[in-house]
Amino acid sequence: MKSQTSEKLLVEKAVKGDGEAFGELVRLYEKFVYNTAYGFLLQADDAFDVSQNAFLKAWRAIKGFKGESSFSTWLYRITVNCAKDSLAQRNKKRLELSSTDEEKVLDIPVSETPEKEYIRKEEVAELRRAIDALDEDMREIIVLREMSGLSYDEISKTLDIELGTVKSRLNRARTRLREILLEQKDKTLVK
Amino acid sequence: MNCKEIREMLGDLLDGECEREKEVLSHLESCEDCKREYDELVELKKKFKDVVEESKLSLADSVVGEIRKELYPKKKTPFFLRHIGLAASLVIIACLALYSSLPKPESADEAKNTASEDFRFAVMKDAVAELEEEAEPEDALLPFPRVEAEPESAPVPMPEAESIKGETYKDDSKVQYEITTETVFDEDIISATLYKNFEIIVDADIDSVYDILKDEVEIISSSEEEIIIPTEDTETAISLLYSNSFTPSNVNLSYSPNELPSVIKTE
Repeated sequence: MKSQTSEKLLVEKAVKGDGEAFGELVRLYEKFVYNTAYGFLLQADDAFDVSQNAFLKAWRAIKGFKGESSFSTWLYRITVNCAKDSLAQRNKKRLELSSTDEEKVLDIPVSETPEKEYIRKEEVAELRRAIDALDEDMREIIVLREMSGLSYDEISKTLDIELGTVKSRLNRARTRLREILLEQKDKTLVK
Repeated sequence: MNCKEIREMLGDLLDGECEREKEVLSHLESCEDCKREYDELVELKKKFKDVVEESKLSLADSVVGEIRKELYPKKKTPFFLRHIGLAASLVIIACLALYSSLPKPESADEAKNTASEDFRFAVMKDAVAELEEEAEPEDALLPFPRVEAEPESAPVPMPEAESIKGETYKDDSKVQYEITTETVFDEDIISATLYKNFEIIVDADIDSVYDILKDEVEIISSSEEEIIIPTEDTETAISLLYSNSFTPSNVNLSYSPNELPSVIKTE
């Protein structure tokens, strides 16, 4: 990871229109942006498209970046907005899809694997479905913490909420997530 | 603190963001229910690591590629520049037509001149044959001006130069030649230039190629076997072929205008 000084230099160059410097920033933040997008979309191709869109939006807007927040917080906000927009569009489309198609979106291909691998994949699939079932504000905060890896302070700045709100919302999100997972298990047992 | 308060802080403890870490840890040592709750949260957190499917594509490469496209867009050559060579050719053809339509002056030495032309034609044939032998294999398609070295002795009086232009065939392809005879100190210095069409071979049927090229480049003529275009349009044609997923061969040449037109053939 580059030092903060070199990141600052890269940002300054990018603001002046240096595409190669912005490219370096893309390399620094690609994992974060992709993981965040994946957390919202839960599908690799969609996450890739949203990530690319977020970076290109950032590139086109960087001339107006005044440094009022850190570059990372600014990029996090763009990413979250792009991911939420894309998720909203997809949810709209989902209403038109049949339930069978909906299952396909979240299906994980499971080939003949050892039992443990099968169980692990099943658990991950259950967790994806649970994340997908969370309300938007809970989903947003759980994704930023668990998948994007942001600290409470970074989440607070990105979402522009108090630190106490981060804690309480995250707590509620985890509780709800576990409830959904339990509900899913119960449904499976009934079947 | 009671269990309810502790449980509200288990997530913070898990994230390393708990302000009352010591108190919570101490409680966990003595409370099995809260410890079980904490362990469940730890398990949940572990599962998140497997949730993200890695992308098969390189995000950074893709984004940087898009930015480069924005920064350095391909510039299309303006219409008048793309056709300037053709326009120049038309002017030359018009001048030649005008010249040849003028009445030729009667000359007393006409018979002698004819004989001299026959001689030069024979010389030309030899020169062309010699050029064909000299040509390196990789030069085979280059419109090479191979000029014999002139004597370097100085001072040299202004030579009287005459030239003959014509067409012949080499490896079933039409070539143009220009033989120039210069008289220096009563000695004939013969130089020869051989031009040959650029030939581009395409792995597609000729009609598809024609459809791709017709709106973008000048088509001089076309048949079932080949399409003839001006040399200056050759690079445009090649880029069009590539952008339509065809694979033209013989394209690593430098296409300078004012040479013979280019020939596009299919395999």
